[in-house]
Amino acid sequence: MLSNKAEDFLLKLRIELLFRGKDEADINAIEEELRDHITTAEANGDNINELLNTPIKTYADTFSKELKLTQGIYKYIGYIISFMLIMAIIPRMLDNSFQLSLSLILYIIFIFVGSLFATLFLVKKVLLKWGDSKITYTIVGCVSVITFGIFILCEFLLRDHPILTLWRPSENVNFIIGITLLVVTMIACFIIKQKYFAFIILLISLPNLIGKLFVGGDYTNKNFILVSSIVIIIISWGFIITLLVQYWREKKSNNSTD
Amino acid sequence: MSVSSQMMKGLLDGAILGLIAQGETYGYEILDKLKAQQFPEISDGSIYPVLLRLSKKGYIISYTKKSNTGGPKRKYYTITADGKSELAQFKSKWHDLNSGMNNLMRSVNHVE
Repeated sequence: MLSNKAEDFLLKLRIELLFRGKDEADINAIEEELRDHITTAEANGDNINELLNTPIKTYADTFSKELKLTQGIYKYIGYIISFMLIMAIIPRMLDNSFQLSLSLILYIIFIFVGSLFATLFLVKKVLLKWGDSKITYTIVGCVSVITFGIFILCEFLLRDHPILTLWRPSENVNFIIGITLLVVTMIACFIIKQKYFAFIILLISLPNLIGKLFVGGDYTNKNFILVSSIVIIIISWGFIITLLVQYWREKKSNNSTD
Repeated sequence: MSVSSQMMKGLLDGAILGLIAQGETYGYEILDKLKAQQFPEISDGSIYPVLLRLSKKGYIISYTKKSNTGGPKRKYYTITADGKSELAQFKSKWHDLNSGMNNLMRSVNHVE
């Protein structure tokens, strides 16, 4: 069992290297080796403060040059950005709120995609400063709530302030393009073996699709909002229950291996 | 990076390669031996990037063994044929450099 300071050092080094896009298997090997070193040193009563007090960035620099990047990291970044773009467009088309406006373009670039990188950057900073602690969880929780709040606020602003409308498709055009994009995206996700992406985009689109199925084409109908809201609640609960079951199974299998 | 830092970096690679050539060993033991030989400016964390570099160049290979005492897994290193030939070159160059530098530094001492 390592000291808290040692665990904190190893965690921060792992985070720094992961955020530099280094291969996880290599990072695991380094962590394992340092863990063995620190364990032996602590058991022998050696003073390892010099190592543990080394600035993480400086120490990560010494490894960084020798470590390869995660295979296909740029491809995955490309997938995520394309997926976020699709995620911002398809649900809007399916509930007929899509219009190509300057505010939508700015929203996608700065809020939807920008927030992903800004949040990752902030989470990294917080993890490196406070490690695995209560303050980290509190800050990450607050950032998530604020980000979600900004999303909702922007959604309202988008509807009323398009700044400049470039294209306003009709209801039918919106639905046809939306459903085509959904099918094409799902097929593409299966082809590139990212079935989770296909599942997520389907879950996000499902409330609007089921809402439309029940009330026909009338998006202003209160029943549409009611049905789609019920579907969102069912999906959210299904997701939470799946996560809990998975957590419980993992805990059970860990206990049985111990 | 200062001249002396660059020099130390190169020498540490050769020193670690030399220690691994003496027989299978692991990180903590390498550091212990370097300290026992009074190798200068050596710290706990400095050897691992070097081990990684030597592995990447194919001079050493490693395997991981589970600890008998319930501790973390341990990585053991052995030298390869390429590593042996690199070490032979290093030794020869070090021999020449050492005598050359000693001669030169003696005249530098006269200046002082």
